[in-house]
Amino acid sequence: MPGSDRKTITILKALLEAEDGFVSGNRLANELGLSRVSIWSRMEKLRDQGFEFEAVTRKGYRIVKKPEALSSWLTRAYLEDSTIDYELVFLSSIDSTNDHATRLLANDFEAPFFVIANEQTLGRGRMGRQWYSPPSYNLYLSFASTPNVRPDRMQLFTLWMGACIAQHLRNRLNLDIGIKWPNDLYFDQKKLAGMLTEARVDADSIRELVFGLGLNVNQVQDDWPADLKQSAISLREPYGRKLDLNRMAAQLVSAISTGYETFISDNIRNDFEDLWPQLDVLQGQFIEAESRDGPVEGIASGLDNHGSLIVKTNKGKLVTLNSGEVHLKRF
Amino acid sequence: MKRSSLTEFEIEEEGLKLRICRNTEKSGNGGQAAIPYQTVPAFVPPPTEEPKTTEPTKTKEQEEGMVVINSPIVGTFYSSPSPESPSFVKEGDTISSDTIVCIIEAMKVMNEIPAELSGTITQVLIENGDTVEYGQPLFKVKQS
Repeated sequence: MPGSDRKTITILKALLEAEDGFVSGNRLANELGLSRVSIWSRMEKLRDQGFEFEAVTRKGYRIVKKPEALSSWLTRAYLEDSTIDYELVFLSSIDSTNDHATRLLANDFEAPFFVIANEQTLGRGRMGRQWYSPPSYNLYLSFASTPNVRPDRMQLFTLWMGACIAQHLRNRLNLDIGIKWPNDLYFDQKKLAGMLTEARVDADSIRELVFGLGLNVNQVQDDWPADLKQSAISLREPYGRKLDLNRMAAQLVSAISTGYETFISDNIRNDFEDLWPQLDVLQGQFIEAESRDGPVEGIASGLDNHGSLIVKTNKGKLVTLNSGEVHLKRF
Repeated sequence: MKRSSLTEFEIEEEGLKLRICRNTEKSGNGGQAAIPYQTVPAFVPPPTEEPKTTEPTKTKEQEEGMVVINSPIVGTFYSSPSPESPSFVKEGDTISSDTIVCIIEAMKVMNEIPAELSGTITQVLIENGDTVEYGQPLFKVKQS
């Protein structure tokens, strides 16, 4: 990020921290080593991005309106205090954040980085399934890295990232969010978020890794397409009011970065084994799934060492599932 | 040395300087990145000299210029990015080293497999949805 942008973000951060209070123009000018005119022109630039400010003589400036849609300025201002220093690529509309991240990696864009979009036109999940991605309501983001680790190190990766994100949301919003193995976040038996991890494997090493997340944030029930009404949910519904999309983006960037760094540098197995039972929405449920040997029915009974799902059939046999679709059986 | 946390040591004696290093891979991630899990023998790749790979070797001898692309990991083989889309490659296709030939889903990660060689696909050896083992032949290729 250029230095001049960083100063604009510092101004924005000071205004955000003051909330309804005023920030003295003199104070900002002194702290940043800028002239009052320069401060003013930076705020003009932010006005073009959907911010509104009030200026009162002898009191200073105050923020009166923030953009509700995704804003690179706002997300960066919220992230300012964290130690995360990865590049954030913001896009108003893109085919898919995972695809864009893959293209940037192919063009030697320096990893790790995030791609965050306000809208996806071809948002997708596992096996090319569509992920509903309308503008301005929800978050669509991808994290790209070049970890250079052996593929067998990745077996708990998606599950671990899901656990980190679910745990973060639970703590912050005090909602009973869980994970439906292997790659969806659930609330009240409805899908809240989906994850998709894609990698490029090369001579026994992961050359490129892209972790994508689609999180339903402010979508309201009436706005869902008919086929998703019964099965999808956003954070807004159980939380009871609209969430600040940019604050959420900043917090997820932070949670994902920390989760990834911990995964790569430490052995997360013990932490994961502690977390998983608290988050596992399938535990003890009667499920059906496709295994490599045909359909399986039984009680979901936790995970094995490799992160595979253990299913206890009605004959008492234990079957493990490596991947695939699991459906809760309802009666 | 591998059992210790040493990554490098140096001995100097009678003019002979011996320096032994262990490759710790990418240090940018804290230096521990290369340590695989110890508790997951199921995914430790079998040695490539195992009898399993005799078939492609034989193929190589019989047909001049023929090579195989083997699976680098254990997982589920997908010939296309989604069930509705066309296969990444089919028989007769020309490939280069960067061509993605398939996806193998392993441990909840969709792994795109590059060809790493150039030539023409002469035979697809497995079917969409099959489980593949480490080192299992996926495609026969006439190298260019």
